[in-house]
Amino acid sequence: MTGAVCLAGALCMAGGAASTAHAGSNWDFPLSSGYDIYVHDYFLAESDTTEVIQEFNFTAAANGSSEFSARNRWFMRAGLSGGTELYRQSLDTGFRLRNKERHEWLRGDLLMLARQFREGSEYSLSSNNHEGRMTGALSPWTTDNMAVELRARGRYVNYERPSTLEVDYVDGSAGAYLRSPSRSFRTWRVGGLYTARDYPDSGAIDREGFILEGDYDHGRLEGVLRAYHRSERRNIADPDARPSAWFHWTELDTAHPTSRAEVVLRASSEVWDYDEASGAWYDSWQLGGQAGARWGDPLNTRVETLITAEHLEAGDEPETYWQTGLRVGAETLKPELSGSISIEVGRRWYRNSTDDPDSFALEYTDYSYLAFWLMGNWMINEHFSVDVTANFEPESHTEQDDNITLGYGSLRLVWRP
Amino acid sequence: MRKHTNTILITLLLVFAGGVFADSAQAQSVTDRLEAYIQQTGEMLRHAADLVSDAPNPRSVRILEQARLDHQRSIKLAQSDQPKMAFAHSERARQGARQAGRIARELSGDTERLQRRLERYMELRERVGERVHESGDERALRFLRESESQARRARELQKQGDIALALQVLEGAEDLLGRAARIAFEEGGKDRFERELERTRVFVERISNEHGNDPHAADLLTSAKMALRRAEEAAAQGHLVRALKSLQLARRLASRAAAPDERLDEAAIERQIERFDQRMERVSTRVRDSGSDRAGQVLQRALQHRERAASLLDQAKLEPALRQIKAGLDLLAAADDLAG
Repeated sequence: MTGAVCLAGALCMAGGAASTAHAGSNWDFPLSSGYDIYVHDYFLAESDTTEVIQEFNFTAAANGSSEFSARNRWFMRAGLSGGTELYRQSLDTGFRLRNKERHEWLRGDLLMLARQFREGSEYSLSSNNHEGRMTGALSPWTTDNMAVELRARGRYVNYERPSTLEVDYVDGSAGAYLRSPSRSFRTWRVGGLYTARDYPDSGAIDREGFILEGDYDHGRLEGVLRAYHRSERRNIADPDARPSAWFHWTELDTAHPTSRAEVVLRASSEVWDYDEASGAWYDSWQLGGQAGARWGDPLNTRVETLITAEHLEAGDEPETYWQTGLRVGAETLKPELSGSISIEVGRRWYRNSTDDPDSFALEYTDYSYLAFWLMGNWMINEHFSVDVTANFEPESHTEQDDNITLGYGSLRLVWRP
Repeated sequence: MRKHTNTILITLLLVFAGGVFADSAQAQSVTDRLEAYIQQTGEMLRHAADLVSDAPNPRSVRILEQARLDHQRSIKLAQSDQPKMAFAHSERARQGARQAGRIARELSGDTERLQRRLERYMELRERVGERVHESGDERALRFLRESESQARRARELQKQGDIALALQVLEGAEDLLGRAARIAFEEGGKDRFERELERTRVFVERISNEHGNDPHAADLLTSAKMALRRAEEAAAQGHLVRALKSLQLARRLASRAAAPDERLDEAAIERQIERFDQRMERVSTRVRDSGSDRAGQVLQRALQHRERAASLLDQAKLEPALRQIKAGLDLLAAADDLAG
């Protein structure tokens, strides 16, 4: 802990010394210190087991970007973090080139992340690792209404000690899209993508995918229409290790303003269709929906009530379930205090599978759940703010041994010199 | 599951108790059945291991490891002729195998979902982030930063295999990003504000030149110019949405000064005054509670327009009365907004 405090002092001094803005660019050097706690409570062998991971850390960041009004732009965000559990480094940088009409014709992005765990870390997965992601997109043809975009991406994840839980991989993708112009208030895109992923230590699950997707987003302060669809064909190198499959994912999110309230309707659908279903891989169709209303000023304080429902159809598999709940929430977006709080209570019913005790089939037990969610940001003054995040989700099953509780809390003090 | 366990336990105990008095052939039968039972537990463990390796997670791995230990122990106990204990451990191994398999199956779907959502988030963040920085709106920037911080947490949780929690955190990040986008795309944007400001200024000037000599119009134009000033002040403080709303108000007030297009009707004007009075009490309470000087000034202005409307109505000057009460209602709404 003494070391952590010394590190905090050093970072504060560094941040304080380097907080001057430079001409022609914008720079910002925030410092933050925070406390995170993760709680898992579940049944193991003969008794309940509670796993708690606590982490106290300090983070220093440097955020730079070109002038916002510049035609060609760049940005860079670098971060260093040291804590009681691990050290982290991150670099997120990119550029945008625009033509005379200020339409973007070329962009590049690079994201690098690295983590080193301290000796005796409480994290169960503690192999040091680093990962990178690079994207390039060229728009050879743009008009005021649309643009053609050719895109390529590469990514890797590397662990110091790879294992079944910490798997190295490399993947890449390339595709073409027709999209809205970069400065449009309403965004949309439609296109196709080819992807390939290689697992150096387990070639049997190497895969390639052919994707068609479309996206529409028109968000107003009051009123939203957002739609997304993706269809994918995924081929696995060894279908005996994991079957190849078709996948279809659709999401719709609408909020329609009326004189009394904003009517919210959301729907989602996910379909997995395997060539040969087996083990963890079975055909399924998950349907979700939310319906309700919210009241208040979108830029001030707002409350909402939603009825939620979900159904997983998995044929004869025991996972088939129905779920319904009621969610109430409130959010405030005041300049000095912003945040949201929500509570959902509900129940999930499973289709019972088998009465044969020697069957390999898995059994699920019905449960009631409560989901509490809190996010908040308090601007103490121009330089200091406090961020709070908390999540608590206990499940109460008809079979007590199946009870699970998930919890997460984070408290962070941020200083922007 | 517990029901099954009890049934099997009673059956096996009966068999085992019976075995004490049985002949060696019966004892052999118990041994064979226990052996088959343990063998099947081994099969269940292998099945669960397949599921867990497809969707690894620290919790399912830990439960599976414990189940394997129980299974190994049951084999040793059976070999050392302790069938009762062997059965108990084998049964516990089965419970563990089922629990681990169940977690893995649930996770296999969520893992895919999280990965896709993270990818989509990154796409949206690239698009929205740039626009938010361009807009220069402080609030949108703060939402963006909060959103990025949540997404980083989601990635950390993903790395630790806490998929369900990572999905929850990512949902929060998506929500914050959506809010930042709404402000920046739809309402914010310094470019847009500059254009709107210029357009409104020209419009108000033109109406002033054309109708400035009409005392009733001049009064409305004074309010319009005040709204224009408030818009510039709000923009200078980084509140672009509020600034745009003030510009809209300035345009509406100037339009009323120019030519009200409503059909003139005494009863309609009275209804508008009643509407004003009904709202007045609530808004004045909010303004008083907020302690905002700016909101107080706008409220006073709204009241002045209301009084003029009533006075003009008494004099049967319907057209200027309508202009005044409409302006009063607009200013009342603006005061309410500032009090928020």
